[in-house]
Amino acid sequence: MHFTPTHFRAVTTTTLPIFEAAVLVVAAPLCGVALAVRRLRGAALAAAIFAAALTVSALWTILALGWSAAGGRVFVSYATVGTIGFALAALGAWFGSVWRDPLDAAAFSVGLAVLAAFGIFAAGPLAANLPTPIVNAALIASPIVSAASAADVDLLRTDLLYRISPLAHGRFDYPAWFTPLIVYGTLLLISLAGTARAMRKGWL
Amino acid sequence: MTRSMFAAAALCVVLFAPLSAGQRPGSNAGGLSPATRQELMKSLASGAAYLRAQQSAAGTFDANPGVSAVAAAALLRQPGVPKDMLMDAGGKRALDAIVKLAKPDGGIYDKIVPHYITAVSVMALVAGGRPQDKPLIEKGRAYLAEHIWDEGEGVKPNDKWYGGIGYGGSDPDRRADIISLEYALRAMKEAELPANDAAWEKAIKFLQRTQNNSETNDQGWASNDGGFVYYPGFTYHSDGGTKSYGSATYAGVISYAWANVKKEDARVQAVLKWIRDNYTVDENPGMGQKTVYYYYLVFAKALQAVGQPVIVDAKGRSHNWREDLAKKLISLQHPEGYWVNTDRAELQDNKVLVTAFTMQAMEAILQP
Repeated sequence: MHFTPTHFRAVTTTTLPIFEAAVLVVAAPLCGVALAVRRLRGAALAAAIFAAALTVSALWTILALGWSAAGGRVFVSYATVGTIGFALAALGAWFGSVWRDPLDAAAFSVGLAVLAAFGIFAAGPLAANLPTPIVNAALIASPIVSAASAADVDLLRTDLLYRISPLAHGRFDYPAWFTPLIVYGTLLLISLAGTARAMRKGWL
Repeated sequence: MTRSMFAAAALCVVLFAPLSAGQRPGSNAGGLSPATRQELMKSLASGAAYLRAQQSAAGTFDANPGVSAVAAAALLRQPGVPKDMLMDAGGKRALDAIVKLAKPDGGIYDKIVPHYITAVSVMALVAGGRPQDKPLIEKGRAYLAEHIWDEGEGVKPNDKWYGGIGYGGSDPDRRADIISLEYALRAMKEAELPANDAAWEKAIKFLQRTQNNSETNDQGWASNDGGFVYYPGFTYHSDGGTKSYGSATYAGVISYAWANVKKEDARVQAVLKWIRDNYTVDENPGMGQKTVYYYYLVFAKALQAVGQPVIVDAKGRSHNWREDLAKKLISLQHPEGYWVNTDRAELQDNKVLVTAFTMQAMEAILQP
């Protein structure tokens, strides 16, 4: 397959933040657990590397599209992905600081993130009968949908999901651009507070 | 215009409906009987009253730009009521709310599904007929014509998506479908896009590739029942495969009509054969009750547009579709004036949207 400028644009503007969010659903909690086991040694370096990677990714997108076409949207999109990443890592750190067995902490934190990300899709036909406010809440909770929505991607109406999921055929509203920032920002603060409290109590 | 004056005008419309334009007195061959016509006008007035009661102070319906535009178009086309009355009874507010969504590139939408929202917004503005909206209508129809997949987006004529249109937006897929295309073509037609515009011919390419008619469809999956699928190679028919189903098929035949393909054309005749073989007003053939109100809408608009007053089904029975559909829709109306589907798919649990679809179907029934 030859990658034309059209493909290049499609990857940078749409697929990339969604792909990154999907990776973070698994990778971020695992990183958090690993850092908790090390009593957060190296956390600043990990955070810096993550922020640098996001910055490179955002700059790549802006270079591909031009600032006027993509600037504001890319900023919101990567702010959302960054907040999701830090929040899920903090959740992993919290669980890692509470559970004695890091494997339990990893399983629970990754399981919770995967459930939030894909639960609404996995619900299948059941999702079609859920009240709209519950569907909307589930969409906000999903890092994948939040990242896609921030990137202005109508994820539920992409071909595959439109064909297999009943969600797109019913009433739903994508989250406003600031909602995931608030939700995941709150999760980040709660998880950091939980981690700090657990570490002070010496649960590790 | 006071509410009581509007109610009095609506009452006059109902009482004198049998004398209104388009009726052939003493005849119901392919038309409506006077009794059904009167019932239909009463039903329409009741549906319109329900819709008006749902309009917000800002002019929108259900806080949804798509639903708002469909409802506005239905209300502004209410037969037998003078346009200035319709404008005063919320029409102007609805149009003003739509105008606020206009984008510099000609699209008229809030954020998502830009093609669909632009199409229904253009239709509402056309229904309103305000001179000041003409530039927006022209830009809107150009936006839709421009967004039909073609060489400009790197889609070649031999590509199955060529000539189609989808929901739009930052969607990485090149997906188009017959329903989105029907909305776009209807808007382009109502907005009087010139018949020689290249967009029509491109759309016909996609229509051919969505039709189960191997004579004109160059896709390997095509069979020969004459009906349509959702997009080339994919159907929502409950049996799966690539079987044709009701709403797609009526959307297909009406799209041929919008694209200036004549009734005598073999492609249209093939669809009419499917229609004869699958005639019903009880369900959306192949889908059951799913999206049945959109089915009623395209059913009425398609048969009115192709000028087919009587359908002779596969068993040789003649059906006056106007009479059949009018009676069916009247029977489905709730006492409060609305219609709603028992199946939630495609927002058909939304009373405003479904009532607007039904009113537009009724308006097509009343056209000669």
